[in-house]
Amino acid sequence: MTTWFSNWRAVFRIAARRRAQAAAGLLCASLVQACALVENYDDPDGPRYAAEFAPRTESAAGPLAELSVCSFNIELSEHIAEAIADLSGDEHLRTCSVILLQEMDWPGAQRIAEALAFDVVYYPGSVHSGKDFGNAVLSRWPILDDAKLILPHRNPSNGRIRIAVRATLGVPFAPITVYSVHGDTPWLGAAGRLDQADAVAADASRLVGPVIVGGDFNTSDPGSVDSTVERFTSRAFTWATAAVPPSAGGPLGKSKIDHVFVKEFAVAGAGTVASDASDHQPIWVNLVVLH
Amino acid sequence: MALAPRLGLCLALLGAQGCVSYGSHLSATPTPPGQTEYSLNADGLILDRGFGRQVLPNPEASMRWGLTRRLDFGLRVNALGAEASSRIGILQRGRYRFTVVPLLGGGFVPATNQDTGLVTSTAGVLLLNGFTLGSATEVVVGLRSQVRLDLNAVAVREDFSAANWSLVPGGSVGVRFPVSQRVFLFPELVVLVPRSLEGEGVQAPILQGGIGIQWESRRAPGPAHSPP
Repeated sequence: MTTWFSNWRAVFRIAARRRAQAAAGLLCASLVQACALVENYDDPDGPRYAAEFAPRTESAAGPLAELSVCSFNIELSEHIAEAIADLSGDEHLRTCSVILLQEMDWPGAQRIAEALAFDVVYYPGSVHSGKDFGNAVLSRWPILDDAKLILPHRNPSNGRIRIAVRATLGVPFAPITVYSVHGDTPWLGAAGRLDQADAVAADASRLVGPVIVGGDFNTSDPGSVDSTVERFTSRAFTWATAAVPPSAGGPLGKSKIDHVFVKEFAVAGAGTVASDASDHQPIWVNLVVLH
Repeated sequence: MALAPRLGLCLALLGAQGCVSYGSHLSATPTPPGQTEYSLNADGLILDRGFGRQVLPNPEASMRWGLTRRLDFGLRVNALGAEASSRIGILQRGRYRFTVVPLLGGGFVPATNQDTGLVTSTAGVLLLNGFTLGSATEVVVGLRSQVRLDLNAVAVREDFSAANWSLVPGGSVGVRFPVSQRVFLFPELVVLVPRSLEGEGVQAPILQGGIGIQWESRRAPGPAHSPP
């Protein structure tokens, strides 16, 4: 009995000496407790913002054989003037008829659309750093219809939802549907991010006619690019930016996380342009309509 | 970014890849009383995070303190996780020894989570069967069953149903053998088949394997692992 008592006293002495480890554990637990949830816009119908700045000219309504599309994650809409300079100054970017933007607030999206004379539709998904955080579609052609897709899963660290913005554009030959997508970061596990890409691909594959899906898919971890691409190519999409170099900075260097997928288009060219406006570079694709 | 911070981040991310650990590198023989046992383990995990099977590194270190001849206590840490366990000797018959190991662990899982976990915690039991070969070599066959709770911010702050429960049963085989009077090597292979308790069924098997190097703080006065 005495031996057992001594043994347990030893156990408790060990426990006392390890209070520091326990304190560290409690600290970790309190950090989890402190993970405040962000404000999300869970309503699939809004908030919605839209404006028309595109001139209704004859050229805009002329026959169409080619078009260019840009996608640009402008980090937290912080450097809008620099982004406008990039989009209007670069020889590839300034020819884009459709611009897909991520990490936008409405003032930033509206300012770019007005400066470049595009129509715009914008949906925020949540609030980030005191500003709305969402995606926009800018178009030289009228935006006929639009919707907000709430992607599956919420960020494990703060509960943030991610969205895609879908817009149908009234181009001369036939309506084109475009998506501006922003998937979650690697805080959400790989399977969760693939679910998000899959949700967009499934929605887009149901449409009849030409479709363009672009944005920031956060495919920074090994294996995720191929798995994400497979979600689209298995549904008759072409990976239009397959040959584009990595376009986003990260702790381990640049990553290939911005992508464009197309259906019923041939890819005539694609690339990326250096930019000081964001931690991402804008990407562009030249597309030829397959009649 | 300068090279040093980038390298540091790289190492941190590499470590984070393996922050979920299922190995133990435990023999069925508790650390002798008064001794401290140290172990450095170089393991690899083969798991499926959604991209197909991937191999991720999992370095870890552990310390164990002998409390009695049939009881020890240990802590094991890896990049962003820790586990406490205790070896309780239950039975010894000749060269066979049966030991029960209750364990409690937790870790931060930003990259290796299957879905929406941020912090994972596990509680379970290992049943270790040790077969002594020669004077100091021990073959260890283990069975384990753990309950795993994956927590995220939504589960903690808003809706606990967003947490994910799973059962992680599996088995292990390893051998601890001496390379000098006080230093041992311990290769081990662990196979687990997690089963979601959220209705998603059996998940892809997890394999963890590697080798540990173990040494004790000082020699025991008698035979290293004398029977109770």
